[in-house]
Amino acid sequence: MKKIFAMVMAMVLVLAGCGNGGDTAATDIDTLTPGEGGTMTVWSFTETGVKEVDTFKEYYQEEYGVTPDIETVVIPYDEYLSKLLPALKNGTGPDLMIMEIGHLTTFMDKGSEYAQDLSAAPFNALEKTDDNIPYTIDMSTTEDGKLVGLTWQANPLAIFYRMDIAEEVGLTEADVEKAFSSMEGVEDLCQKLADEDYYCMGSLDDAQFFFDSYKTSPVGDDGKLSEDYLNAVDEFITTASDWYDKGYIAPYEYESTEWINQIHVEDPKEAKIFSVYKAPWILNRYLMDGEEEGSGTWGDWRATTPPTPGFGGGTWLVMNKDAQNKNLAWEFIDYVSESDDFAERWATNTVDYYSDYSRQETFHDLQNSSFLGGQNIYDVLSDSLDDVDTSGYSSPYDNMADKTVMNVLIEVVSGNIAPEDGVTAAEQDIYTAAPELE
Amino acid sequence: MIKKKSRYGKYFIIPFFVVFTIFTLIPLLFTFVISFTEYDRFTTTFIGLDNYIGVLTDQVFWKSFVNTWILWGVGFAIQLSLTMIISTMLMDVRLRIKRVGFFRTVFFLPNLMSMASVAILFSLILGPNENDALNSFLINIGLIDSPIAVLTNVATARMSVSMINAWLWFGNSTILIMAGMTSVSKDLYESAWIDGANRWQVYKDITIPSIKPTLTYVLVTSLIGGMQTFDIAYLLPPVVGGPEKSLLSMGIYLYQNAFIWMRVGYAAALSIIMFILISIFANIIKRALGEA
Repeated sequence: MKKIFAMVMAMVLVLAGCGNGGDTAATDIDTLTPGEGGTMTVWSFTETGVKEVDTFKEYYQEEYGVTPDIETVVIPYDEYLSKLLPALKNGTGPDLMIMEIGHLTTFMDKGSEYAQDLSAAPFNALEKTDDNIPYTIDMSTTEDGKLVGLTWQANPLAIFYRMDIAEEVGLTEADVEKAFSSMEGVEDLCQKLADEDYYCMGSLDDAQFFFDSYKTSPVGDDGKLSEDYLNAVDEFITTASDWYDKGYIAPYEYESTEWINQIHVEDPKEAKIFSVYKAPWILNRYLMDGEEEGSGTWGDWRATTPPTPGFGGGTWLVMNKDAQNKNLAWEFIDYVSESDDFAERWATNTVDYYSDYSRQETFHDLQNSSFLGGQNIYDVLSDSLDDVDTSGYSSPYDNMADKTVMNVLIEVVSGNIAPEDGVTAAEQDIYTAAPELE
Repeated sequence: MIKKKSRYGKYFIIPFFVVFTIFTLIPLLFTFVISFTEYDRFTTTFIGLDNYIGVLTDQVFWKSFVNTWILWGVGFAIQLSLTMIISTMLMDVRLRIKRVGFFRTVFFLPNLMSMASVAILFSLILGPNENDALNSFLINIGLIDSPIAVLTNVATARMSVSMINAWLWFGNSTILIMAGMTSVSKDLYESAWIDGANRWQVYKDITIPSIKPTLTYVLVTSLIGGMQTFDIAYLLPPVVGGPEKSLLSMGIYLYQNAFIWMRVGYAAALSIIMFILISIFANIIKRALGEA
């Protein structure tokens, strides 16, 4: 008896240690009415994903009288895919995944088979996305036409600059806009600012968007590292390091405490950073964060178009094809990416650039921003939308190559690598990460 | 009766073996198996010894190997020096240091902090801007005019990581060495003093030989931990691997391959080679000190 008791206790201990909540039965979307659904798991790489879920919960509560059961898990950016891909393979992945473009390009190559095709019935997402900016759909569509995910942001790149600093050095809004319309103009402007001890660009991160390397895929038609890309990298590293040496680029690491402190310095005589070059989400995330209307840098910032229209990231909503709760997952995707209700709730508190023309029009006036001195981000960027070049986001190597090149540039400006050797160092590092490109 | 009861003991250790099998043994065997494959978490292709040949001919791996030794070697030298000085002082009856337990606790405290917190703390101290602690201090006392970039220079970045590791671990080794010193028979010391030995002779000929097993243990465990250096070297510099990849340890290179570039089979082979190298060096040191 004691022997049996001991064995049972041992089993209990093991089972207690290895226990699992267990799976809920998969639901069939056709059998559910809107508003139904069990627990949904969402993985995100950022707190923005949590805010999207919270906005959806708020809407859902008001619409259906219940708060949907959604568990949101935030996974660090660099670890996102290495955790997600095996989870999907093992059948333990989340119902819904919120991805950044750097994740999406790799996911399209390695994990798209685990994504629900949103263009297929019963979702038929393409019927609702006629008025989306084409590139936002193209970027998440596989070669065989599978729509892997939807995004609610278009994220064309803009240059945000301090008008009060411009005035300090005797420049008008028109002068700055003209300067940022060409590379020659950028260099002249930066020199003028450097002469007055201002940094034209907030970090090396901003500088990259001025160069073709950011808009060229590292992989050529032959599946190898492209010569065009390496030439673009060479130009980027040599020119950006020259800019750095001339004092055009601030020595602050993007998103560092020093960088954040500097973008909020109110007095234009004390401030150092003149501009940051990012998509409109930078406003919510950093520039407006902690600022209050009528004080600080509120009203001092302006936005303008860069020399070449570019694309600056965003979030895609991807459904697991084996999701336990496809109904709720689809409701979430549809709500966030297409509904006016989400756009209204979001736009009331933030500045963002929607991926579809109809919402851009509907909520246009909500984006008249006193933070940007009354500018409307849609008006500023609308003309450049058709020319946004997303070709640099077409292979699973884009993100890795970008990071590698940026790391080499940091080494170059630190004096550890000569500018002329930068491209060779970058090439070697890319081969180390992806020897198959050699 | 005792014999009969003792039979049940094995049933109570079954949970350990089950957990060990699931979470240690099977992953180890799995790592060994996938080291012979090209495995990216989706597809598995058997490629024989290609991964092993790849690692052994990979210049970046050998660079990481050398880096790991430098980071550990310098750090351990500092750590052991501090440990020996502090242990000797605290154990010296003639110095009559009171509250030895308090000092032991204080020295051990850094070891209780999470590595991520330590890395963030030191990145703020050693940052490149004039407002970062070290630069601010040096500028204020007039030693430098403009900020220095400690973490983007090969020598200072390596020294920083080694010193942080020494600071983290010297308390741990101090406790071990002091325990070793406590176990040395007082008769030996008394005899030496009666025979007219001076402090250095007593230390060299009695203390050190008597604590050799403890020193060997500290050295071997430190080597094993040091060869797996990851956290501080990964989190501290602005660029992964540090300036000129001088902080790229074997552990970081393994992590990059497995979790960033998703070359899992290659990373598995790298981990097996790491395991073999660590075992070889640990045994060499153990035997050398054992025979000395």
